[in-house]
Amino acid sequence: MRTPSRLLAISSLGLALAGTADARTRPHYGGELRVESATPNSSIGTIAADFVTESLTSIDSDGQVQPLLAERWDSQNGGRRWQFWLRTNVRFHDGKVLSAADVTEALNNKRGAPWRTVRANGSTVIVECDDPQLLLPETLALRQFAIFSTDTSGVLIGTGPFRLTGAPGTSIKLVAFDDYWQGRTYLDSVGVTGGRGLRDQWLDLSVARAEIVEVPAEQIRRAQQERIRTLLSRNMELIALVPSTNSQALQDARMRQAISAAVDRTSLLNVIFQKQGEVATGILPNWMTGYDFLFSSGQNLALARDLRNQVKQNGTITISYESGDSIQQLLAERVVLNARDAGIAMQSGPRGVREVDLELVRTSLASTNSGLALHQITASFLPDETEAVAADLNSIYADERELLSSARIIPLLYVPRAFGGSPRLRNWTLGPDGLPAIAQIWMEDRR
Amino acid sequence: MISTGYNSRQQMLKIIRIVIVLSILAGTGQLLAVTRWDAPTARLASQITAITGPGNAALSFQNLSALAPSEVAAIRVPLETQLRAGGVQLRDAANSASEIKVTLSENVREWLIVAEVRQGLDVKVVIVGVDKGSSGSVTPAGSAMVLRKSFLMSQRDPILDAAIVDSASARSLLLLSRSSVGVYAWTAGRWNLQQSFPITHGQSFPADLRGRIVTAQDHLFDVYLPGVGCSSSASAPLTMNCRDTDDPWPLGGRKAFFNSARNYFTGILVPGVGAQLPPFFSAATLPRVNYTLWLFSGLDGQVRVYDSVELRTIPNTRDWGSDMVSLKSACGVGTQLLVSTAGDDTVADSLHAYEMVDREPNEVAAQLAMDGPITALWPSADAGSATAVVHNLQTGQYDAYTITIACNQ
Repeated sequence: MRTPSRLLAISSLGLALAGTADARTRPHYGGELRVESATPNSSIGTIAADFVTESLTSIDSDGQVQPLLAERWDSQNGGRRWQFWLRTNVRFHDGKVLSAADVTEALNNKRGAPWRTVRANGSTVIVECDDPQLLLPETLALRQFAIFSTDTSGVLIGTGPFRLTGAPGTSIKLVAFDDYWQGRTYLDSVGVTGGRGLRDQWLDLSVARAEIVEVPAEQIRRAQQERIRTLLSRNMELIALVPSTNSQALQDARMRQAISAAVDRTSLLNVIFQKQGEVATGILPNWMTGYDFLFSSGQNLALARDLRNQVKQNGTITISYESGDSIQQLLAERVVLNARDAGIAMQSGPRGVREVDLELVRTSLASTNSGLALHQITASFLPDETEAVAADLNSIYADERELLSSARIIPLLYVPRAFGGSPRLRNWTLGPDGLPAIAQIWMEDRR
Repeated sequence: MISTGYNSRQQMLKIIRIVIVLSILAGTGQLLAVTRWDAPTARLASQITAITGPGNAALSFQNLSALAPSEVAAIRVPLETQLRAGGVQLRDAANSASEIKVTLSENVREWLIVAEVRQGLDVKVVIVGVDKGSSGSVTPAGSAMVLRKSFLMSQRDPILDAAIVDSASARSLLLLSRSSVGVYAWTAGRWNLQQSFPITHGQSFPADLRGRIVTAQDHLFDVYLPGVGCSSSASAPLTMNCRDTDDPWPLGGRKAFFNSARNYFTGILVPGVGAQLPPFFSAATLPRVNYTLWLFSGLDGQVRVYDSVELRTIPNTRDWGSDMVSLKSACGVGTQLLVSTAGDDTVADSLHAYEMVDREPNEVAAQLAMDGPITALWPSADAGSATAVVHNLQTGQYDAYTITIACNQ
């Protein structure tokens, strides 16, 4: 029987699959880390932002909020007013000392923020909200609320461990920030190259032209067979079906529930992802909530047929997937087969061809805090229904239960993030977001 | 229909009632000890009885967590007691209007006690979470010489060094962290913070920050950090002043210059030892009849020994870490070498004790396992013990220990 403890053990953060460190020494300084990604060149600036900018707070791997640019905070008026004390001795990459005015300017311009105003009060920052925001410190840790400015040429200026050397092009170069408040990184620089196919990335890793490459969840087994030193995150990527709110065919909740009951999630996991990940019983992964046994996820064709027979289906339901993504295409095709077994007429096609009823989506958790993670998923796929962030597990469960019973999000699988790394890497771990913690890495000297 | 439960005023009154019952039971000796499960189970029982009301109910248990059977019993027994105190009569399902299915589960932060309360077709769910505690440490089995660790302090901020100051009337702990020096007094069986002195510095510290706190003759202590030196006042009230300085650090009875922007010593000792030394992470001294044997842990992973004649590399030290100290004891030749064996910051470390026989290391005690990588290892002022700081991989805390060597165990 599947138990949470077993799942926790299996999905423990930063599970090394191949290769171990054999050097035994304190960190060494120096060297350039070369990172390759399939992320299109147009988007690699977003990768860089993680190393260049910081937020007032951070969330650790257990979902607990931790101080970052803010040293401490306090709330009044039932969570409607928050005061943040800034850390001293923090400098931007241009040498300017971080001030409350900088934070105020950065946060007042953020879209989708849950506050009314942000203002400076001496060396502290006051955040005023219309409604109680019990998880405001956790919310401020989200990437979208990072504190930064841009120079005249549009280059990000943050307070993070690395600074950008120019505007992102086909690649970006980050240089260690000597005055970083947590101490200069061991690495001298980081080069990030986007638009690299997986084969090219793995080849570059094997001939020491790259130190970190991507390993998609569906390729983890292959990476193991090729003896790539691989790190896995917890199961952090949700693969789900999201019914379109405009779909006439899916207006009736029973049809959405029928599709959910028809899908054989275990086969999707075993065949396409070769058992790397877990069946998504709830919208959040079980390592985060611990209550997935309260939901059912097994394929139930009898229930699916019964629900489908209660609804008159008008036309064929169309499911879309990311164009050019062969894994998403495979997943969509298997969902179509499952649906047909339940008597539901369904077809699949790449996104953008025509109006669709169901979208197959693959998204990463925005936070390891369960309330925030659920809120962000809801905000992404059901923007009209976003409510305040739930702070306690009973409320999170109630929200999740409601989303699942109405089948407005149909979770399929949770899979890990994975990366391949050079044997020279030391202190190589993944951060709470499942991405390499580059600020901690150092490199063994070449032999 | 499924919904979740919340505390109401009536529920709070029930909690108070349950607590009173528990107090009476404790007073009559029926309840011997208060466990960490008592408050959560009281909360859960209160929420369950708010749903069921008084009457018959069937209770079932399942454990999906890593909790041991003894812990399951420690949850079940008080929960049953508290449900009965709330007026719930526990019966079999055939004779009950309500079914209570309790599942013990866990997530990354908490142990969960989940109750599904079924009354006909209506199912309500209540969840109570209990923060996971930290696990205890393990002391290894002994041999002729035994490495012993004695816990000093644990905190979230990295600990760089610690020193114990004993006087006739009091015992104090000086704790060096990244941003402060804490002075603790041993009272009521624990270290209590008396004073904290912030460390001021002009330039940013290196990422792998190292530092030492050393007790002094004419004042309480000196602090050595990369590019920064601090000294306490010589008289009351106790104060501390810091200044930017490249003054050398005390090391093996001499002084050694430390690279102010990195994590290693430059290789320059004052007074010199008679050889040109490459930069090193740590050094230890072993007294000999006519000379002192120096050992250096180099940046290249090599361990070098200097015997006043030649500097040479010790073979077969690939599994040695970059931290080592010498430790005086009443065992063996009287001074042992204490060496870490860390991989990097992602794996747990251990300490090994060696004696140098014919300039070759000979392991003399069973290794001492730690709960994470050793981030600092410094000798005490009299070299009779060492301070080891471990970044506990389970808790994320930095744990400081005093390490000693005991004989004939």
